[in-house]
Amino acid sequence: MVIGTRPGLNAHIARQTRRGPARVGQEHLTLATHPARLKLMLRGTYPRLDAVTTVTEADARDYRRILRLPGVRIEALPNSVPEPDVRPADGTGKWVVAAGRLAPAKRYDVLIRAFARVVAERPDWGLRIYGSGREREKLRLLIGELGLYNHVFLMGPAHPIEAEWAKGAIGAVTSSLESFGMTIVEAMRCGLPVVATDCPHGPGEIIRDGVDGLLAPVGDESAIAGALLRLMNDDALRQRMSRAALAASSRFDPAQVGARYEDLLTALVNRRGGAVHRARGALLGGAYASKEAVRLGTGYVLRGARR
Amino acid sequence: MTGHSPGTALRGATATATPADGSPSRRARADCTADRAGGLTFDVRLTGRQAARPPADAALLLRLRKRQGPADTVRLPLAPAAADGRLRAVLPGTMWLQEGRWDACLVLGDGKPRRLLPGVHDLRALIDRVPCGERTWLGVRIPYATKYGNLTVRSWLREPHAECGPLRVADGSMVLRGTLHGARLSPGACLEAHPRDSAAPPVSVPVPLDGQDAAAESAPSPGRGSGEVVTGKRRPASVFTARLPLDALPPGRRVWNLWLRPSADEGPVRLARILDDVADKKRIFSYPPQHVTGPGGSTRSVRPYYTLDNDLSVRVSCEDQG
Repeated sequence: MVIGTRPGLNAHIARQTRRGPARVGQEHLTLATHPARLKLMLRGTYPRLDAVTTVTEADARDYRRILRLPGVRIEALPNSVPEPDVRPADGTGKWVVAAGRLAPAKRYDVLIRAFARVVAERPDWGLRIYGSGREREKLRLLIGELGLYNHVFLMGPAHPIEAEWAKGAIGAVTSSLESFGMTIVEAMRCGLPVVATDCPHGPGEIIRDGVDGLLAPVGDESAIAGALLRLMNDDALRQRMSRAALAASSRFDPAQVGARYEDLLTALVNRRGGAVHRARGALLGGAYASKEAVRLGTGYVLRGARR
Repeated sequence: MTGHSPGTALRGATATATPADGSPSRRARADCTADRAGGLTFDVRLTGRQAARPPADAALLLRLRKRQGPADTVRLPLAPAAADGRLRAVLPGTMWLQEGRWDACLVLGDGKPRRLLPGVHDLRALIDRVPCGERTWLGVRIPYATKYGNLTVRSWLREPHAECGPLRVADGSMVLRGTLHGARLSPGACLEAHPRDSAAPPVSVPVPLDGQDAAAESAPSPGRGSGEVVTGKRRPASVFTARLPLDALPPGRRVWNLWLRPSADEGPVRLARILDDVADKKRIFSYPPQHVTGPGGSTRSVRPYYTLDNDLSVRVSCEDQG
């Protein structure tokens, strides 16, 4: 069993693994954002893999439809987030919390402009944006320009982030593009219902709109503000969604995702036949190793995949 | 929180950190939980051999950083608490702790004290804290990660205390709403700006009495929980609104420290913002600069900000220096 974690490694594995081990390529970004040259290279090498895993169903559908990979098992297995070390938010702190790199695709400018509309109606709520990045100065100037400096704060980076989610009552993600939407799961595991833009790829697969979070169109300040105000003005709705978010996000626990990996890897090994005993040992070792990597890596290694 | 160096916080595992003295080691971490009364609970996760057999004589030391002289030390005994083997020490809200930065260390038996690493901090009780009424002094302690990744507790000790709330800069003036704890505003109350370099005389503007005299805030500001009931005897407290016209600060590049004098007979109280979970406000609370034109046509930039101690000051710069 050999598992690669990015296209370059996956291509090497496809080309160079000796006969015997099962070959798995993980994709943490999306086919849609791969440059054309890379897609050509994948088309040439991925047919030799036994399986390709993506982190969203939408990306898996793209791989099946766009790359011709007959005989390659394409499966979506989401990123995982462990149970937080702090107790969940109790929903009384009047803070909306956002966290992530301060990069253009995160569209924190849209969130800040939407929050200007929120503050006009609910000045008793505030917004904390955690993270660092090259957009920081631009966002700081926007906050000053809109007169929101008593309500919107750029908090800088925070490790661990769970302690910060737990201080809020609503999560917000307003990206124009995601490869998964890890922060949404993090916020939900801390008991926050999330208002998120329904951007490619991820948010729409994580949130059930109206049940454990609210989805809004990308870039739509008015809709984002409306969703935030809806949760602020209806305490009972917010509490219900908070409980639903906590329950629903447990499907992203490393134990659950790890079990799905075990199923996939077992199927691959069985399909190849051969020495089942040795393979099962290698499989379980590999699965536990990947489970551990998934557990330790969610806050660290896989963070590199979050774009 | 802010300033934490990345790479040293692997969730759920002790990090292999290399301290400044170069020796590789697995240092213990402490999870801190704050309570509404100003107390801190430290839950220390030991590593390696010590975790298996925790020594009987373990303590958490807080050592005050001083420019000169030996550090003041507070020793908090560590005792087994939860079933998971963590050791617990408590810094009660009633314990008086001098203002400053207190480095946290772990000492086992008669071993050398080792710097503690930060863990998971639950500081939600600090947000919009209403100081309890029983003591004569107001103590704030916020644990944070230093730029080297170590655990330190920032302590403030103010009596009386002027807590800054929302600050609006517009139309050539700065309007600050806040709450004065441990004193009452009287006629003759004023906002004072003291120049840091003492090269100019202080500037004073009167602060009108709001007519309100309560421990609760007046107008809404973000994050306040709904209807927190404060039990116990209330200390005197006043809500205030102070307006400083920005052209009252004369031209010339300098920093002005802001104070509130509750009455003509009392000493000034430093204006600060400390009743929350943010140890270092300087970079986080950012106000736009205002531009003031002098009589000669020269312009200067005037900008309020929080110092490294979370005290409120105003920086006046020449226009071409921003």
